[in-house]
Amino acid sequence: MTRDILNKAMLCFIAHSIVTASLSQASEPLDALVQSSCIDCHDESSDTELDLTALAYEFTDPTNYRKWVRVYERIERGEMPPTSAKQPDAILKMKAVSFLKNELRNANLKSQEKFGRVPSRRLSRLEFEYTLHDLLGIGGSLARQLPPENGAAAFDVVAEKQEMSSVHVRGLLTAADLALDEAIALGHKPNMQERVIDYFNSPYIQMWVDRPVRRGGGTVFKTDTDVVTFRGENYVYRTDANGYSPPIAGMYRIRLTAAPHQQRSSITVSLKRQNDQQGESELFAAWDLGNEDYRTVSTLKYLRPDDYIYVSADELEPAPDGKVIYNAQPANEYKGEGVRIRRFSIEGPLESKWPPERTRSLFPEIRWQFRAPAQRGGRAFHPVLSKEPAEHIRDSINALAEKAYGRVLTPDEVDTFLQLASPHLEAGRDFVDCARIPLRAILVSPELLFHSGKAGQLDEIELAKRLSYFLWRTLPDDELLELAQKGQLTESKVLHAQVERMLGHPNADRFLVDFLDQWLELSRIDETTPDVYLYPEYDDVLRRAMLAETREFFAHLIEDNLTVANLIESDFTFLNRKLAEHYEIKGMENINGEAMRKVILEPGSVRGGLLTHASIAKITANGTVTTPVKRGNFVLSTLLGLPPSPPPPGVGSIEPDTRGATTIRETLTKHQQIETCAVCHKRIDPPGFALESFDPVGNFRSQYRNSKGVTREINAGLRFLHVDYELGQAVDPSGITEDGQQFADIRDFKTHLLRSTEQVARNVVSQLITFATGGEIDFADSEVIEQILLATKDDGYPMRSLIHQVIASRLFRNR
Amino acid sequence: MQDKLTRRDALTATGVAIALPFLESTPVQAGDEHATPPHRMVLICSTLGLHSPSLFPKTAGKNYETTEYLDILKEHRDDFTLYSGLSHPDQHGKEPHDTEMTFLSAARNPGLGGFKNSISVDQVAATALGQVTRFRSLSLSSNGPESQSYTSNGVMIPAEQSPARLFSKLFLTGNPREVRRQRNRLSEGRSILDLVGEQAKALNRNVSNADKRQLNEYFSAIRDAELELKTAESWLDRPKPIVDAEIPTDIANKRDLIGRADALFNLIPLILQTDSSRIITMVIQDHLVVPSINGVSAEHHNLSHHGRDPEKIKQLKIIEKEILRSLERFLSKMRMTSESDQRLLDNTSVLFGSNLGNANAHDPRNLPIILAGGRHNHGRYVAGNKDNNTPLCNLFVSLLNSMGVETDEFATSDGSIEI
Repeated sequence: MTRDILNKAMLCFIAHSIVTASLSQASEPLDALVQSSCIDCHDESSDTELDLTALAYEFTDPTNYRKWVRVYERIERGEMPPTSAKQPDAILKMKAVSFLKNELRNANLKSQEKFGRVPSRRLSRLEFEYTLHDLLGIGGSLARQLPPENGAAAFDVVAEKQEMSSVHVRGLLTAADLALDEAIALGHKPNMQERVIDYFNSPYIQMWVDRPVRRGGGTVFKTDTDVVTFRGENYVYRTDANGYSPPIAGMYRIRLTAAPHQQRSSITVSLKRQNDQQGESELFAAWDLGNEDYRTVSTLKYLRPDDYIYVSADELEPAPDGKVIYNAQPANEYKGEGVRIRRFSIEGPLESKWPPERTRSLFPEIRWQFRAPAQRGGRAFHPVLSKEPAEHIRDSINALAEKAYGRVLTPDEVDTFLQLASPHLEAGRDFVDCARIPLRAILVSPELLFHSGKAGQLDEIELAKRLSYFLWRTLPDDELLELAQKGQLTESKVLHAQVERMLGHPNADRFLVDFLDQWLELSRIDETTPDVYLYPEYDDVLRRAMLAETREFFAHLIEDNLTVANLIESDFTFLNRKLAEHYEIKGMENINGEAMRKVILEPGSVRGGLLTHASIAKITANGTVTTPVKRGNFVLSTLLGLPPSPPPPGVGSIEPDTRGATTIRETLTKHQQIETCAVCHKRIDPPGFALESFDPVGNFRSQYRNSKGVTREINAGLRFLHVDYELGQAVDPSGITEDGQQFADIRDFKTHLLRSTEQVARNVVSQLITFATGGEIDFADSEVIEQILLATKDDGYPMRSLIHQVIASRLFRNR
Repeated sequence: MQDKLTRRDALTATGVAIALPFLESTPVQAGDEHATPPHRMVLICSTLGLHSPSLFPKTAGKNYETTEYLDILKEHRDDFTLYSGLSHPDQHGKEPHDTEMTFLSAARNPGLGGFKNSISVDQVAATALGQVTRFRSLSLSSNGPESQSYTSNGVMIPAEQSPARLFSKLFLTGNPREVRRQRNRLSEGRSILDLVGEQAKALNRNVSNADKRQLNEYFSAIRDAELELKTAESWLDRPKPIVDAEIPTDIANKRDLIGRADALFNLIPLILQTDSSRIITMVIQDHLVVPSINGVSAEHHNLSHHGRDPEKIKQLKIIEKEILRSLERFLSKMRMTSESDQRLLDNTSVLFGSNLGNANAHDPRNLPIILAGGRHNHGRYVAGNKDNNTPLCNLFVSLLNSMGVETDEFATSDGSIEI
């Protein structure tokens, strides 16, 4: 007996020794490499952060694991040992690296199996807004109630980088409160008929027509039928000052009939919304006024009662003598361009019944009875209860929770929510006020806010949720839920068909906009504005067209399943009249109107591919100046996914000089001359040199613009026809890539870059996986990415296929 | 009584009249602790730097010669100290203006991968002080909800931009219906959080992820929020201070940078004097519009990238001078406001500075820093080493000490600065 135990113990011991021995035998090459090439610098007395004497050959411990991953990456990229040091034996290095790779992969896989690849994550503030919009049938900004997301994260959904604090929690409560305020509309039935904002007969506008220019008037004038505006952002036209405010939050249809006045060039008429309480202002619709005819246009917009909107104008030319309306009085003799406003109307809220459907659906089985309110703005519709109030509230909880959680609550769960209302019901508080409390709780509950669960394969509902938050950024719809509940969504054919359906749904725009806003950082487009004297062509209309080009382009790659190489070089792009003029595209006379359309580019055109988009030129410029460093970094980090190391601490900044004495290339020569700079900058700078051909607003340039130091009045909405800059030094867009390829300009450079198509595809797949799962790419993930690349290689990595592949992959299907 | 009248007179002279003097309006239990008014801190950041050749004198010490910019503050010469050679280390971030996030926190490499902000100096003080005032701290901004105040887990506390809304939060009680509604929403909020907290606990049990960080953070965030709502509720029962000042009107015109800054500055003496809060941060920033200042025809941000163009520098200086004049008016008010026979300025450390030393190059070193008030040793220009900066956090440590926070370190400090 004792002997038996001893034997067993012995066996165990031996088995253990064998394992240890086999690991240590296998780790021999790694150890040999460490001893021969690393330990001299990386020992106990190391100045670096790495002490290899304290790092065990043990890879499952998370801290050790992360350190070894870093070691692996640096050796694999050839960064370590440094080129100045003695290089290790090639075979030894290969053996060591392959051992390390295998160990790290296994350790990572084991951890993913045990704990899941992605930690619990919350909805980002945008996802929360979309979710509340869809759950409650409302619109308008709610994300503003929450603190901004961590700017250091690749995407707002990345669990590791998400923050949570009491500021968030209070923000969630406030947002849910606001959302319910808008969802529950029980006031007087508003007049929903089309209301004409009668600018022509408005006493307010008449006042400004009559008032002299020195007292702020004189900028508007009336023909026999129209009011004419000669500038943009004219508050004279605000709806609230002209007798109209949206009676209630909801969707409105806005119609406008307008014509160009004294037209000499293209004119844009636009609609702007402003909310002084919230500090919001936006241009939400714009149309070209292309010829002398009146044009009638309409748009839908969610408005809140404290919003006001106004008709605005852009691209108006001053009078031929250069005068603007302020110095060319009276207005009816002014010769500049204007917009004639014939008719402006607002219809809505667009509700088929009252109280609106969104309110009714929160209170199933309740009839609403009208009773004239005691005071203005008070509640006019009151519930007619058919059973105990608590039972009605139960219905409300069930209805909202089922939509929010994609499942039916247990009676116990309903009770816990109901308990929030009970004391208030007993105290005799108003029914709706009581019912509102548990509803508000559902909207901030962890089951709605968090994506979490057990490690391993996602269950059907979890899969539906991940899928819909990936492509729609919101809760799954009934069809997805139904398939999930029937256990069919995990079938690959069904899943594929659903992805097809989802990509065709309008909600997929959220994926498109948010993915590009964050991956390409298009959301930063307004962070700087170019100097108006150097770049007078930049205005709101151009800004919209810039963003639209990139979004439509990317959407088209998905729509037509076109290859990833198009991101580098394409023979087409998307343009409207404004952008075609900006790019001076051949045949631009035929590109009319504000709508974006696919345009085939001339052979040899500098356009084509993401890097030539004005939006990218804009976000990679520092306001008024461009630097090859920032743009080179964009190509490496954002397009190729191979970010350079950050600059060493204490490195100086380049002080821009727009006087024209030196060019940026001259300033950057020290990057080549100083060895420590050159190590990285021979990679970073060349792509940036090629992109020097694009100025901060995306014009193709061969000379830099220099400031003339002129100052002049700028008028909103007016074309700035003065050329207050002079052309200076020539742009040198040539260079030599890191691997020694010469290029003369951006066209050449793109040809070289096409050889990196696979790397761009690898990066796109990585970005999609991160955005879809909320988990950044980890060690063992790369083999999945390589499989996807292999499977799509022959077709040139087409975009739609990549999305399907990502969704079918183990990374997407598992926690 | 006599005392009260003179104080009132002083207040009226500043254009701000207060009905109740400090002692009576303060909701904190009366007692001798208010024989000496508390110490406050006001931290102001103008985010685009100050043109250094116009600011810094050539000679250091008490006898520094005045400069173009310091001329604007000459009335206050004995009430402030100018520092140079201060900055936060490792501020090269992802985007060149990311240092706006770290001006008060000194977190390294803002925005770069793995970056997480850390607690800002005002919040260290607010946490140490606890809820002795209606608002532990207030964060104000002339532009948008971005503030420089960050919680201990690096989350930004949104800034108040509307003087009218701020005034009403501070001084207006609202009608009984509104108060009732507010009270209901607060207590409802608390019971909701109670339930949601339980749900989070249950969810956390069902999660096998080793990394439950998010859910744990959520759980403690819920608890913090519950406490905050409870405090807010208890303050609802205490009457708000009654002030004899007009409700400010918000300035909708985004071009009126100075008007917007002034409107916020005007409220600060009121906030401090009524002891509504003792810790205030404020951001002065342009709106990417051309400020309506005579002689200025371009945006502040663009002018800050002057590219050494003399015309642009000229205009940039016009804007910066107007900002300094706004500061000057604020300091005057703080001087003329009195409490317990002392100048409010003497009980308030006012720091004015920027996260950029040279905005043209986005250089986050050699920051312009002015410290005023707070009974510190003033009238000096303390010139630091341009090439080897002293951590700005050393100054923050000294500020914390003068707030009664006993600490000898904050973020990247390696000592303190005699103030």
